[in-house]
Amino acid sequence: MISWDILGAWLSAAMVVWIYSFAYRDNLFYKLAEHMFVGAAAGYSIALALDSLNRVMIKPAITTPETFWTTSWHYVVPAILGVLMFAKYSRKYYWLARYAVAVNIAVGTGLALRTVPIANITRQITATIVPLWGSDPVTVLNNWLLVLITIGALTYFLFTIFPRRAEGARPSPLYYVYRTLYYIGIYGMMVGFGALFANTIMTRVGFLISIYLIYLQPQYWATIVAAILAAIAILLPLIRKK
Amino acid sequence: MKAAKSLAAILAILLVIAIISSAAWFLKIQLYNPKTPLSGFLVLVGLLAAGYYFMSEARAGATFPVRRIPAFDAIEEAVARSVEMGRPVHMTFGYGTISSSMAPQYIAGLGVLSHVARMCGKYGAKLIATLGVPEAIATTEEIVREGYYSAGRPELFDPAYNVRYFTDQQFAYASAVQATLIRENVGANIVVGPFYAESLIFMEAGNMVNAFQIAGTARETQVPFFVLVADYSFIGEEIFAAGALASGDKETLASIRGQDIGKLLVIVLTVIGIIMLLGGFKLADYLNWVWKVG
Repeated sequence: MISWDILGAWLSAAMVVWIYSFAYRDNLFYKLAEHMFVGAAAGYSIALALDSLNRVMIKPAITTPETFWTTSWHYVVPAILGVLMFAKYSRKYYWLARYAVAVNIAVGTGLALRTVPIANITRQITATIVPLWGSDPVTVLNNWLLVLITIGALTYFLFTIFPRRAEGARPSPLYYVYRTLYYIGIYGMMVGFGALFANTIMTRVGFLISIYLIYLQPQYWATIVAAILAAIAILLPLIRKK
Repeated sequence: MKAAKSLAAILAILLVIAIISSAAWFLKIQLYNPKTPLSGFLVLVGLLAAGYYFMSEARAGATFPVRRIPAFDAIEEAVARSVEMGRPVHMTFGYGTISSSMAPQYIAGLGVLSHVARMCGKYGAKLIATLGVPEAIATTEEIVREGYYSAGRPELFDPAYNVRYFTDQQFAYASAVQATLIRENVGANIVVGPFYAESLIFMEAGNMVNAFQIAGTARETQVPFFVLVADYSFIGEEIFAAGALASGDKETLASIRGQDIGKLLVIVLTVIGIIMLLGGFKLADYLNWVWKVG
């Protein structure tokens, strides 16, 4: 007996294999999976946005207008801005869309600005003020590395303030200090990026294993059939070309 | 006169802050989170004042040369190589949205797009800008149009071809972008903006078609992928400098000097804090001091 659950499991297994098949070559089944994925995602987003608009604004405005206009009237502002976005389809009024975009960008920038001074500046300074001396050599080494790499990385990101080397002249001692810190910053960041890279790859391998265990292994026939179909879709155009 | 104007502007800002703070104190309104240190607010005001000062200096004619950023210089080479190979140039900005805290990175990406669009207009290259953020469609179209028009090549602008929005769902957008890279056989893949897990997918797809790749993000978890796979990469804050360089606007470039002052402040305060530790003083306690208002 074929149930919706079985069909769903076959479809999931097939989608996983077809999406992975792109790693070798673009093919018909990848295109099918991609278009289904993009279409479903776009449709889902539109449904979600409309539902949210209805729940938050349209329904309360119609069913309980008095409460809406006293407590939630401000929802009208983003709604108007949202409508302005459609002005881009008019040659005459496309400039109106800029206002909606400008408010969006301003809100985003404000949100970013709110946390930066505390998280990226004050907390960074307080975390870096550590003693560079003590009885435990490992802690002392750790603290030295922390301070040097932090200051070095900050030096690397100075774009307009840095000692310049005049052509033919002997560089100043400040120039050597700057270059030393600059390189400490670069190498420190590279070590950090290496650790981050390894961490992320570990997570991705974890995802791969969980996808195998959840989608591919239980429906191994679906996996085999989907893999054969993808192989045919990849090989057929190659054979035709020859 | 110039200094007096700047001083007047700073005093005006401080006056507005004082009025708002006094009103909040009288009306017993809590202006901000009482657990937040005052130093954060002072740093923000100081950086805004520094940014404003250098921008007004630039308006008066001062210039602030920015150090060379190799990835930015490579953009022209990438576009020119694509034209030689008869392949289009691709640019995308990542999954981070324009209306969240990722907005500054997105704006930096759009700044780089304006430079890429101008270069494409100059060399007659086809540009494909792909998006996963619906709010940015209008802006992206305008930037690409402006790029082609300012280079005197309006006939190359075709919004349906040049600007492609897919969906705002992360991996659906990623699968569509990687397919675009392969099917259009792009010659250059330029990705600058707020990237999440899709970063490596784009880089690998670009690598499959041997595209010249330039990538950058300020999201430190994704920088390693760009550094590893791209031919040139913008590391972290370099994308903001690149965005300012791309704009070519003196005032925007001057704002970088304001940011540099912030970084110098961190270096100086860290060194002072460590020296103060010798005398038994903890600067961290002062920086974490909370002023309870209202």
